[in-house]
Amino acid sequence: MKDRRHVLDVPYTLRLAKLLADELRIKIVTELNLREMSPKSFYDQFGGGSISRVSRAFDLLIEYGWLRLTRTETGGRRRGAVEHFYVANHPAVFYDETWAPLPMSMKQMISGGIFEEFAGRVRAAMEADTIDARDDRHFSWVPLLLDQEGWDNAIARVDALFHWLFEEQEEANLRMAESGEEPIPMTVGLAAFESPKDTEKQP
Amino acid sequence: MSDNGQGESEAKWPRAVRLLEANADSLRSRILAQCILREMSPRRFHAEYGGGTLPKIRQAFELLVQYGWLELTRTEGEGGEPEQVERFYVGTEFPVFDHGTLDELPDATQALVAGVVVEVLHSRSREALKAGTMSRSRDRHLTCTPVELDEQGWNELISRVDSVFHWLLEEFDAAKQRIAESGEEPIPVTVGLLAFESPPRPVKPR
Repeated sequence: MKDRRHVLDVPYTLRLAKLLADELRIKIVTELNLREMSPKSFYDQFGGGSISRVSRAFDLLIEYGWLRLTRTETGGRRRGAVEHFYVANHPAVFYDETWAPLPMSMKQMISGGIFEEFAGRVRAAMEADTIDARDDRHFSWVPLLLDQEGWDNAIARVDALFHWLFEEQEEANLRMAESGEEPIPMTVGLAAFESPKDTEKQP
Repeated sequence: MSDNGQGESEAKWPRAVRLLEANADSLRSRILAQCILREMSPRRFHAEYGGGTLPKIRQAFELLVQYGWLELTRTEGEGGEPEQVERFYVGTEFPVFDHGTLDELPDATQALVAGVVVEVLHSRSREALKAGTMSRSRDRHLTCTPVELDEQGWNELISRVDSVFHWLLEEFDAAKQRIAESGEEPIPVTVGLLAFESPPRPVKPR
């Protein structure tokens, strides 16, 4: 699997810290993993306080290797100004060596945040009736007992599926640019973790 | 297969109803999960995992038996006081919602199922964090990713997620055999996979 973390001579942990320090930066990287955007187009669609605040966040994300320039445009309503468009280099992921040294409180905060995001997206999809709009979707969870080989295999499969998502996003963007097909917004949640042997008693 | 076995329940109840009952609350999901891993009685479950009062646990076991999710394997303490009789069960199968099954459910119920899956995963992740198993050196994966795909991408994604899920069940069987041969200590693992359509992108917030 291609490791896309090493885009700069800056430690990945530092890059993650810069990203996670501000919700706006996380939102920018999340959206620019989906599509090309300029600070102005991001601000027009998602806000973010002010255009200058969004531009500063873009600049910092470029400096720390999260975004890369794809093209510039002039003319039209830009009145001589140059609009810079960017995409994300790769998603923000905690790899083993970045996750392990984090204090427990931070791990809890991050994991809790992911599930809150998840629950929020499920709620939004329920309210908008998109969750069951299509015949095919997938909701599952399973408790398993695996040996080390099975665990390694399972994590490799889930990781591969996660990384494939971004490759498929790029290919879908190309296909949609040609066909004009309307994109389908989706949420994909993947979780695989070791559970305690004896679950604490619940009330 | 016992009298309360899966075959009879399949004939008696539509699969969608059985799945709905199995996932209607997190206690039932937890009981079924444990019984798939190993033989369990209501009393043992209560002693090890809590989940409310023993009568409440027994009721949940009975319901899972009724809908064919649990199968009686043996009884201990027969001939003694009725409350001393302990019945042991194993889970018959994973409560997997596939495409066809979900389509049998009313729209509101389909959405409910998604909520239950997220709630169960969240609860299990909290337990793992509290017990420290999520922070050990072993890998783990926890991601929530928005994507915008075309029809072809969507079909490919759903096919891949389904395929990973079914592979996991095969790997579970293969690992059980390897563990039986090697005596290796098994690792309890929770895996959750969700993929669904999201609402259109939000308009500019304040």
